[in-house]
Amino acid sequence: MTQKKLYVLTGFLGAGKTSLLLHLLNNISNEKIGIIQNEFGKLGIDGEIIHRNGIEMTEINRGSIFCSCLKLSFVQALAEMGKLDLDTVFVESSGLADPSNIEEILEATRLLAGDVYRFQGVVCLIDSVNFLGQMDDIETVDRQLAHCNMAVINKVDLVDATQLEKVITAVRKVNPICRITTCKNGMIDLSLLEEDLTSLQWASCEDSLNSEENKPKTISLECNETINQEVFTTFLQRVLPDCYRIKGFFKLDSGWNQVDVVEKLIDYKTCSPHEFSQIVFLSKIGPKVIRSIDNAWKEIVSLPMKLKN
Amino acid sequence: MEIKVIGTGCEKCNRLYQNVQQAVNELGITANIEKVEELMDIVRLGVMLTPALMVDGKIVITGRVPDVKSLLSILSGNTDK
Repeated sequence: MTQKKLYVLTGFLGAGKTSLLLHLLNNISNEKIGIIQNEFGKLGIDGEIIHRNGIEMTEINRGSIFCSCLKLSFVQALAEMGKLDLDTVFVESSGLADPSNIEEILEATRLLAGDVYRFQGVVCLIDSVNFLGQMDDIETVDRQLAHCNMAVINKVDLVDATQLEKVITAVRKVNPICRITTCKNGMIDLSLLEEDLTSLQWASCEDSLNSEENKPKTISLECNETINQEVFTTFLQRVLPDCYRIKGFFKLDSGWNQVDVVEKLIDYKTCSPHEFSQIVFLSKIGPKVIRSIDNAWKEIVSLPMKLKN
Repeated sequence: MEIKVIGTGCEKCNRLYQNVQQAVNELGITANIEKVEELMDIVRLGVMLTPALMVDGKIVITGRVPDVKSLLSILSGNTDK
């Protein structure tokens, strides 16, 4: 069996990893693809978005695949996928995942499964709207960028030339070597995948910042009611300061929608119906977010729902 | 007795280590208890699920933390159910 190409996608919450992956899947339909999907929460929201026939998918949830608690599962998933007849494997890590120990992961995979992969590099998605603020506050963002071979500066349609220039300068300051490219909606130039990115390595292997102790709290909300979109938006606006990320599928009066919240930006996209509405909140304030969500919902929406750990 | 407590350093692995130490003390046996925390070493030992316990080269526990009572039984040579 020939070696499979292996890409790891990183980048902070909402930077566009799933969008990039969708773009790739839509455009390399002649290849046999495997995906390892990683989410912090219990629910595989992104897995559902990406799922389609003919793609091998493994989900590893409830934490970062680089964290001490999950890295063995990650190595095993890579080894299992390595046995399949595939051309390319993509790993979509969670937005809070710190891939500083990727080399250790690859070495362990080689030990377990042999030389089944030809590692193509770590691709880091940068949110050109929010990156400068995130970089100051969140060390994981710095690590994701330092340990990538290519930085994809996304959402360039939402910023002006001055802002873009500032982002590029900031990216270069953290990683002087990586390839840099820009795009919107994760739609990168596919020819970039033909380039050899592995020589463009800046930071060497170190322990990931992810640990069981600093794993952020996730909460999911389930609901069987139809909610007015304006009311729902008001609810989201009330809770979003306490969350890194909110995402899921909800039945609104306008129909079923995929809901995406990144910082202050709330995005709705129509989607196919689901069995029930489900939203995942990734908390900035630990378990206190439960009270915050519960109070906001009772005050603003006031319909039956269930909160789950 | 050579005992290896295998796991990447999470809370479960630490609990297993403590339980093993206590069981060894209670049995009054001579045992070398080693913590195996490096990913490469864990993979080399053939462990698929952590925390795991290896006694004299044989994996006797995977993916759970037995209490001290169960460990007393395991370490004194009875079969683990």
